[in-house]
Amino acid sequence: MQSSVGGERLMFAFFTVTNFIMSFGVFFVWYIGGSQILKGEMTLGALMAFLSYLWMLYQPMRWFGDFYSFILRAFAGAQRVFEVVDATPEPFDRPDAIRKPHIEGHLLFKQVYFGYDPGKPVLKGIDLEVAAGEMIGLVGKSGAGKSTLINMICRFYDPDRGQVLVDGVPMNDLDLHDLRSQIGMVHQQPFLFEGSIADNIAYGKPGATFDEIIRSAMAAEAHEFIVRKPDGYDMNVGERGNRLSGGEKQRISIARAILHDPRILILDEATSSLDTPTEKKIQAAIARLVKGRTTFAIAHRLSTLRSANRLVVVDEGKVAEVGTHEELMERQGIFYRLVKTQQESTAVVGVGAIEGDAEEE
Amino acid sequence: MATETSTVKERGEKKDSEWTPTPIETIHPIDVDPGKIRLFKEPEWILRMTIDGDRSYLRVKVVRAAPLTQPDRYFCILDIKDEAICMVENMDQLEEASRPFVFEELDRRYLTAEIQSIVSLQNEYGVSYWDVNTDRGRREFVAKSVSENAQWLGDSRLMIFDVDGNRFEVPDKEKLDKRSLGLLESVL
Repeated sequence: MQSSVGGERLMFAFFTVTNFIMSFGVFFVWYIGGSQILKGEMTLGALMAFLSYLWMLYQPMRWFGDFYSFILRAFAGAQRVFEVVDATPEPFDRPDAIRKPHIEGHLLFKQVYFGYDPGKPVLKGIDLEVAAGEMIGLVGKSGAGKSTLINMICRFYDPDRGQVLVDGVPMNDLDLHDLRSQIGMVHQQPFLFEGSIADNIAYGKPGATFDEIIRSAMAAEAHEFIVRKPDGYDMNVGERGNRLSGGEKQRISIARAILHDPRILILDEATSSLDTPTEKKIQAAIARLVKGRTTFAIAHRLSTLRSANRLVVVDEGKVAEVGTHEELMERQGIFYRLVKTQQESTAVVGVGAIEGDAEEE
Repeated sequence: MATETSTVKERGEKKDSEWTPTPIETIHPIDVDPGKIRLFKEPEWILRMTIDGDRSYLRVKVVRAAPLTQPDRYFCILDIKDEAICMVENMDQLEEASRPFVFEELDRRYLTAEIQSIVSLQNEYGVSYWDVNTDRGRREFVAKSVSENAQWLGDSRLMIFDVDGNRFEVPDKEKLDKRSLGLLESVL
């Protein structure tokens, strides 16, 4: 990045100086040449020839400037390429790893400490046990450590201290391919590839039959909007799915997860920023999806986590409260305050909307 | 805790051998028995549907779920509001009297001209201007961004969508004459 910025800076400095010299040079040639023509010491043809030679000299100079900038950019790019090449590969092929092609989904966090920056822990001693098939709602302020906890489950990072056990097996000993292939994620902004809707759903299970794709789309409440498209399941979704709306992309992502059939499911703000009818449809699809799977759901709209078996409130890297929605409301702790704050802000928005409507009338 | 963990482990190992994928639960559209579907036209230009012993629809339309890759299977019947009523996987599942109405509706909806030769093809600023001979006569059409509006449906089968959404198909590019093939490859 720094060398790239340096390269751009040098290029602009070089261009400014050379352009100035070149423009001044042309002016100088015209002035001297013009004077000499008037005095009869030079012919117009000679001046024209001289100007042509001058431009022939300038072209390589310009090219040299471009070349220098190109070299600097190539070095900046090479630096990134080498960073990727030098990165330690994830331990996918450990011969001593424990194979578990079909996990049940029981998870146990034992005093898990982790920080992206050594010395700045994000998770500070997480203790949590999740039964197979249980749905956990993760609640907490931004930066509390919810997403980091999810990263631990996917084993994107290893804990600095403590252990995460899957079905009683330490995650570090588990075959990484077996683990990852049984985790499904539905994001707020799902990633779709350039290709047909059917291909994007089938990404969850390579080799899936068309019948399975349709059934997954039906379960995800996506079938109806798909068949309304002129090309149906063959519709090209465009780069990153830009020909589909946010709700449509999310339903395709849910269909993909249904087809993938993971044992551990992560819903990261899967229903946010959607209109109410679409959210209702997606909620119904999600209710079908979470059945029988260990599920972790993060949602800022706390009301959407009512169906969770337990809510886990993460605060400053620790598990602050655990319980059902009702239990936590009775306790009047962090969760209670979060709900109240959200209700108040919703009420303020509501009053504002009514006033706005009244003014319009 | 250790006991519980080991129990879970044992359960997990036991389940490995008995593991079956989670069945995909679906709702309404797939539950209609295609054998009970009766399609007819009344008046002559309106397609209607009755599911025997259940319900009737005053106006329906038939669409293909995947018109490009599965043209002969998976037909969806939609109501007037474009809500899916049901899906018929194979035409054989429908009663014989209803089939001609489905074929007629599909032919009308998925009208595709087959390109037999290309007379001229120009590409300017990402927009291509085609002059082609098709099985329906000579046609001129405009397509935006060929990379987005031309779709390969196999190694040599190509579908081109023009700016108005019309479809033009090259069933086998290898069967095009040399000049047409050259013009086609110049934009792809």
